[in-house]
Amino acid sequence: MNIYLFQALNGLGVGMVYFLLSVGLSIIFGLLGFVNFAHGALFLIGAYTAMFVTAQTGSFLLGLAASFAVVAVIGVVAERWLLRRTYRMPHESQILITVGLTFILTEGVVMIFGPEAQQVPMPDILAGVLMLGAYPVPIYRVFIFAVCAVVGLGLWFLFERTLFGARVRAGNESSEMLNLLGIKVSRVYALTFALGTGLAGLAGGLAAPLRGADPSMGAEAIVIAFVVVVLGGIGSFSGPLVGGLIIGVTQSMMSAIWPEGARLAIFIVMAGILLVMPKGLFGRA
Amino acid sequence: MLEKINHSSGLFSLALVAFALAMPLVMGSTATAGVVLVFAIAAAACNLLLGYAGLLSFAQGSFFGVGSYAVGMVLKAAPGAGLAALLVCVAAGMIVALAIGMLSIRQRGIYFVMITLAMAQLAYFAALSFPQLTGGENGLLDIPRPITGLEGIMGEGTVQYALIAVVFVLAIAFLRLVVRSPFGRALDAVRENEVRAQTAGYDVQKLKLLAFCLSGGITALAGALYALQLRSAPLSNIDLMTSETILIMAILGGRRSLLGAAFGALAMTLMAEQLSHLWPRWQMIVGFVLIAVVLFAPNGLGGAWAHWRARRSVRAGDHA
Amino acid sequence: MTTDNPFLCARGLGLDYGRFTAVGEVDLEMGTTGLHSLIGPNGAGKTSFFNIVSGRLPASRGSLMFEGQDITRCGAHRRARLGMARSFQVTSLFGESSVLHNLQMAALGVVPSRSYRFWTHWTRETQSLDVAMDVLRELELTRHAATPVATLAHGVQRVVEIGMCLAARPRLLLLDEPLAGLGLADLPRITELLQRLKARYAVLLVEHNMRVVMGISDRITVMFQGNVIAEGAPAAIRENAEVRRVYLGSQS
Repeated sequence: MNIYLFQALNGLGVGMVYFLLSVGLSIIFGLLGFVNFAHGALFLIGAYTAMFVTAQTGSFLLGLAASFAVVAVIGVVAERWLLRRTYRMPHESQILITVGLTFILTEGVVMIFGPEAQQVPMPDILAGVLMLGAYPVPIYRVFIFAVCAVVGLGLWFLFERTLFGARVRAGNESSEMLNLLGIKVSRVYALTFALGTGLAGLAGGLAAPLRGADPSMGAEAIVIAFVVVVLGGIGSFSGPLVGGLIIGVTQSMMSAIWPEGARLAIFIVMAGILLVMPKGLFGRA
Repeated sequence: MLEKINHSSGLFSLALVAFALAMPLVMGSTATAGVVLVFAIAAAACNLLLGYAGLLSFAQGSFFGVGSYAVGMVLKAAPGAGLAALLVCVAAGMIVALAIGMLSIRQRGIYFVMITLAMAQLAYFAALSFPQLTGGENGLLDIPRPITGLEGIMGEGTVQYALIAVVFVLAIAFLRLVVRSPFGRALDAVRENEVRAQTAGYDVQKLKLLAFCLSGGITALAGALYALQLRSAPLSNIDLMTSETILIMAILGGRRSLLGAAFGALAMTLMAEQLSHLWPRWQMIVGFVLIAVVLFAPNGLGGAWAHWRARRSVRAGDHA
Repeated sequence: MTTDNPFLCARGLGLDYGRFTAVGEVDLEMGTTGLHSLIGPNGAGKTSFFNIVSGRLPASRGSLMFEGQDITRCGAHRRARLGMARSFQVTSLFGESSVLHNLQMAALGVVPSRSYRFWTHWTRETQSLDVAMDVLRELELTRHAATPVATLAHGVQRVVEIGMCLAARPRLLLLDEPLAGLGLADLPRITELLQRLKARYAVLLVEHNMRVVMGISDRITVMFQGNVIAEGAPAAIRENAEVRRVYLGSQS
């Protein structure tokens, strides 16, 4: 197995995190028609929350759980008090408001934790490597992959096999219809928002031991999330999955071939795909 | 009717000149006043897209950065080029706008916004990845200012400010001409009802692309002037924050108000200058202000001014 | 009346939405003047057919010739410039602007070179203004010239909707349910307008109001579930058993 294949496998792990980050954005937009530019800041908050809770309690799992829960709560509160007012506004206004929200959230994090990048320790059991032939595979990457796969399956099950999922899919088509059927739309929205934002937080918690926690994570994350969603198509579930994996693998492989250009490569790939398929890979008309 | 236009254009240009003359007094130095004017130009160019074409573009920072790099590259290689270097920057901005536009304008609505954001990041990482051209993290340094021969009389700082002020008045007056032209009305039509515009014969893609190019060229010009002001072209000129700053200035001032853009630039620059000394987390306030403006004053400062003028004339009418 | 080179000629034109066939294969011919109506029960594919003729959607199969030119692949804006003007079933205007401005924009749209002029002032745009004024007068809308269209009564809006077509100085009018939502008081005005128009233009009309359709059409095409089931003069269509069956069920 050569270095590129190895990097590609690595990239699958990164890609799964990107999937987790982006699927929330995609779901929220699919259901509410709401563009959440603050999604990146939520990723950021997830990372810092995981770092803080793990440090306080000594349990990484608790930290991860907190990264989901805390961000989900923030998401629900923001939806209820601020974002709900914007549903009737044009998309630009929603973006601008969530840009403002991003500033507030990011500066809030810096106020509490300071502006420097911080290392986030990896729990010992996950810190080792597995030997795959001659190549050491970090256990943590396998862990991430496993977590994201489980979450992915859970989401699939939720959306395809449960009543809640059916409601969300129906609401995707017509929220008016949901209302008429007597389903409390506001509750469906709130839960969907909690789920979508919580997933971003969890992605942040998972990514934290790999890249540390720093205030610029949010800006990076939102761009990646947008790229994945544009590539994969909005509202879909498999879209962010495939999009995320493509981006993750591209980034990892490029970091072996042309390290300085690794991040540039993501965007070149995106531009290339869009030239040929303007609607993205799974885009709906 | 012609007299009315002249009257109104004259007043407008006068207002621009007055603004440019007042800035050094308001800001305390020609250097910071120059920054305000530079960003006013960029914000006004953003208005063309946002308020008239209905395009929310996160790529404005890319054009701004391209302009700074272009002027740096030209003047470092050929210091004698002087003001002609600025023309090169406009062309560079238009070409980059054409490239980004051709990819993004096929998309509508939110997809367009997302792609401009991704394109902006592409530009940023491209700048970072080719340090031989752009100076990488450090940017291009020691950019020589064009020599106009007036430096002996007025002092270099004043000459630099005068250059920026002249471009400011010309650029924004030009933008005003554009938004009041048939092309400007066509953009309005596209923004208001794209389907109807297309059915009526307007080539929506081409119109948007032309607006994008005009905006890109002028924004690049602003970036070039900024690089001359700083004597360097830092990486930050092409980053996402610059795009966001320009957008926020355009919105604060009112998305359709060109003069408002100048005030938006002033407001943001004042906030950055004054607040950052008081509180390092001043950007949080910007966040609140932005939310407040979008929720409660969607037409920004310019809209509030127009609203006040309309109410004044109604009241005057009552007394007639 | 068939000529070798009909003014408008659709052959086998069809539209699929994924696996759903909205329009099967439709043939339709028109001369340079006269009113041709397209009728059929809901879901027959009339508006979809309209959309492919006007270029709003690309056809899935077939060809469309206009004045001898193959326009099957042309975009909607190009068709407008070639002389096709389309009105919408749901009024679609530039709501914030005045009637005059709406008409002027419609007149300007078909002159591409002028809509790109970013260096001259709008008030120099006199050609399209003259056209707009003409249309205003012809449609007796002069007193509404400065009124924002969004504030107009529905009946007047429908007249403006047709005015948008006329301002483009077209040769073919595609009118999608111009009588939609009109009260009895407004019907005669539009009907009479259609009578006047059919003498000067080729008019393709989609309508549900049978009385009007029978009264003013020169030819009628009846669609059902995406295909043409009958075509001919109004009298023939009225007698057609298939048409009756489709509209009225199994009553003969």
